[in-house]
Amino acid sequence: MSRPTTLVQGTLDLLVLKMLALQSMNGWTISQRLKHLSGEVLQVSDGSLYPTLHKLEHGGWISAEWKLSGNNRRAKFYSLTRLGKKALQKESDDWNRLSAAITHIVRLTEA
Amino acid sequence: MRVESWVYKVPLLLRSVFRRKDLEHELDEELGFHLEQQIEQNQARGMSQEEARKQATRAFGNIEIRKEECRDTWVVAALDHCKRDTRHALRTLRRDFGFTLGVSLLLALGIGANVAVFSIVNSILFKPLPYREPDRLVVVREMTPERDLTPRSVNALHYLEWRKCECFAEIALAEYAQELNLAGQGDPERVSSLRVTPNAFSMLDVVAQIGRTFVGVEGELGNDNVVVISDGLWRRRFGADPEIVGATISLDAVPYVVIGVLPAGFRYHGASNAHVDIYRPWGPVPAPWWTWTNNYSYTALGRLADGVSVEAALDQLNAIQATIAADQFDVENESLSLRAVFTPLHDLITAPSRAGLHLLLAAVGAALVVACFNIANLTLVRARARTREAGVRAALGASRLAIFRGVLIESLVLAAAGTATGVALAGAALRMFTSIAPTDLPRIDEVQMDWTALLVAAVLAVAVTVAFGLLPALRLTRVDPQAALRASNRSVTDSPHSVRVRQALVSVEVGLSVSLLIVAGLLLTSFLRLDAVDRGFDASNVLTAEVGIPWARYADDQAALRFWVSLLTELRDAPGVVAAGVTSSLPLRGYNWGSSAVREGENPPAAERPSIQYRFVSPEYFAALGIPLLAGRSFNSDDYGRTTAILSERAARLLWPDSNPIGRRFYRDSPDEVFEVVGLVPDVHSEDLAKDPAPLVYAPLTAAPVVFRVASVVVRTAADPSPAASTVRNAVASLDRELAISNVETMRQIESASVGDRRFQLMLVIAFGVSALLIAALGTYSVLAYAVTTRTHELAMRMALGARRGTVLAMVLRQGMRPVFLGVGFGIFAALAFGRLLAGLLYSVTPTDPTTLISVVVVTLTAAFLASLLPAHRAARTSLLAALRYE
Repeated sequence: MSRPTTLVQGTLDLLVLKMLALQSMNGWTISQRLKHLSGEVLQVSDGSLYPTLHKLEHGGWISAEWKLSGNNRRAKFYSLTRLGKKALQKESDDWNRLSAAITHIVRLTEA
Repeated sequence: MRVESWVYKVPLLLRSVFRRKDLEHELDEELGFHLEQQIEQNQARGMSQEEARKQATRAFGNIEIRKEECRDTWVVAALDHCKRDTRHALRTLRRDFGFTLGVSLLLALGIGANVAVFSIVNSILFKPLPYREPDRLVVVREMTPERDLTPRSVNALHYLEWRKCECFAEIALAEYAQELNLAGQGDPERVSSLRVTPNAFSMLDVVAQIGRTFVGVEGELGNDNVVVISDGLWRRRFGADPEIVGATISLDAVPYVVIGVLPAGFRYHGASNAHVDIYRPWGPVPAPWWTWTNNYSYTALGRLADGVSVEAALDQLNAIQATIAADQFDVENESLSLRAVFTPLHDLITAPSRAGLHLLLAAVGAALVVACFNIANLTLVRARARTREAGVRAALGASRLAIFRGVLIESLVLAAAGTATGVALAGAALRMFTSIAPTDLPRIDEVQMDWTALLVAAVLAVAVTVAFGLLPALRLTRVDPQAALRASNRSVTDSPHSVRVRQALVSVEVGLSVSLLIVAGLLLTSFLRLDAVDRGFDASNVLTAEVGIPWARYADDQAALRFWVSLLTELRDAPGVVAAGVTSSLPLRGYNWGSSAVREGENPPAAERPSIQYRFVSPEYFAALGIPLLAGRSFNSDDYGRTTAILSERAARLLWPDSNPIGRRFYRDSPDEVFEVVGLVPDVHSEDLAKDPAPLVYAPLTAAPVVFRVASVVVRTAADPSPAASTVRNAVASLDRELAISNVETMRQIESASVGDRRFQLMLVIAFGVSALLIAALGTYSVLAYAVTTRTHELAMRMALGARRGTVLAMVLRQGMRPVFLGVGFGIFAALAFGRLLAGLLYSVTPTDPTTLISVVVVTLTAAFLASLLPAHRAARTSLLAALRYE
């Protein structure tokens, strides 16, 4: 409770899927983008991103492709599969329901 | 959704399995890229290169652990774990070599024996016969209940009446198989031939693979010079040439046209078990001999008409039998009735071996159960010893799943090893079984490895190993690491009840093996004594062969006699031949030509005439077979045409118990046919070595009702008799190019074949006995080893308190041997109690033969002692320090 930056368990999957829904990118870019977009609130340890990416890849939600990055180096680019799109839809619906419920409860106690 | 995910997973899986290096390389590259980018970013923020690298690496965490985390998410991860666990299992199994060997051996024995026996039983007893609707096929036999104890074969005239019965869709008749000289296209050979009614093949729904089978008119005179040949003969002799159909072959100097080749594996089970190569059509042609009213020498096989029950069919046929009896039985037999007897074809074929095979099946089933018990025991001993290891692994962070998987995989590896060995064992056992089985065992040529049985046995083996592997594993996974590390074996002791159950099991195993070994020992003793029986002839350096001359060219007796005499002259002059003779029937072959003998001047009623066997021989027969003359003279060529006789000792005693038989006279059937006794020879075993020799009368070839057209040639050689086969073959060919010889065997081979059944039983019982002993020894070992493991602490205490090693050794040995002694007692008791059942199989040895009993007891006790010695030795070596270390 004391560290709000700790990622809620399982939400990293949702975040990665969402990022990749916007555009296909490599691991480094994803980590930078996560830090940036969340205004540095969400601290994803650099290393722990990769097991998540591999898990999603081997589960069939994202697929990988080796392409040249901006500075002309080979990098592994991930993009969403059809299966991943469906999963994202479901995950974000779930998240919305959950967060709405929590927000509702939190407001109640304050009122 | 699920299915769709495999579209992505499968290529990844394939890549991870076959292009693993690529995958690892990409992982390195991907993580490396991230670090490089981070370092560049850090440098851009103004850090030194070294500082930038340090910061980046720190932020990323341990790269090897990250990689491992990634790999764990791969599709292939489960496979990786299995591979690692298999390697680990193999390593531990190699370390526990005794355990591995014991369990695999038990599994192999259990699976091997069960698969082999089930394959045999299934092929012989359960598989339907390879004909259309085999359960509608019945063998028809006849009997006159007032006179016959068992059904007899069939009279051909009666068969002709049965054909009118509506109870049959079809009914076929077959003669007994006989050997004929097949000539033309290469060397002549004697082949087995069977005459069947033309409808035999259509009744069984068997279609020729080339050409056709018989049609009805081919049973008639003039149309009957056609044959259908077996697939075996077609391939062996005619090189599988399809042109054979339409070709003419010569059988006993009569031309026949081949009209078809039967499918591979076809056997006419309706007739004798002999392998038949040539089928000829049989029909009611106008020949006198088959019309004899008392000629019951045919076999009839019928297919019941659709919708007719067996009982109804039998009633209908018996109505016909009643009219036949009324028409044909003469006045003397008027009160007798004639009945038909139906036996399902399958029952008739398998009846003689059914009980034995069921027994065999039960025996191996029991063996499997016992083997499983032993496996359970061995596994428990081991699990106990490994509690600590599991504790260590759990303490080091192994998940319950990982420990569970480890045990599971170890069990699977064991089961696989056992099953593989078992399959090899079953294959070897089947090969041995089919090669040593007596040839009269039905359907023996259809026996093959049964893959269903194999599957069942393998599944069972895996189930047993895994179940007994997992039970302790479940306990292991619940192990509290702390408690396990304290490793108090003493904290768990067995209830006295379960100890008693285990010991009782050992007793049963030992008892079983003792009784089996006693039976094996008795059979072995019988076999050896039988081998030493005086046969009455000298079997060394004797070759025999069967020769048959066709009636077509040797129609009168003088021509036939001339052939035999010329053949013997030819043979005697051949190099290496010491003596040569001819006989109507060889010793130990059991072919009978029985009749009676009555002293001249007496005329007792038929029932009181002694039954005596006749052998028609050439003069030198006795010299050739090494039968010594005891009194009088041997035959010479002057005896041809005369009725002289040489008696065996038993025959002489039967006719003239108190006086010298030489010069006496007797008659065979009619008082006009008087024989004069000229010589006396020892008894010769004509049938079975274990039976008393039958009384024999030897008479010249010409004294038979007709001179035999088929006879056995006996050649005594100076050295090894086998090469004489070509001498005989050439001599026969020089007289008649179309004749061949068959059944070429040395007298030693005939002796060996005559005890074939016994050898087979002996081999089976020995195999079972030895397996049982092995299982019992393993049982003794495992139970004792388990006991010692649970008592390590106690034993150590005893030794700490001053017990000597010898005392501990003796104490453990005593504990191990106690159930063994009990079992030996059981075994001897069982063998004595059921020994009477064996009496028929034994020869000149009683079921209580002390030598056999003592040898078996010594062997069993030695095996059990050795099995106990290992754990006892380990117990005596228990070091106090080691035992107490984990307190």
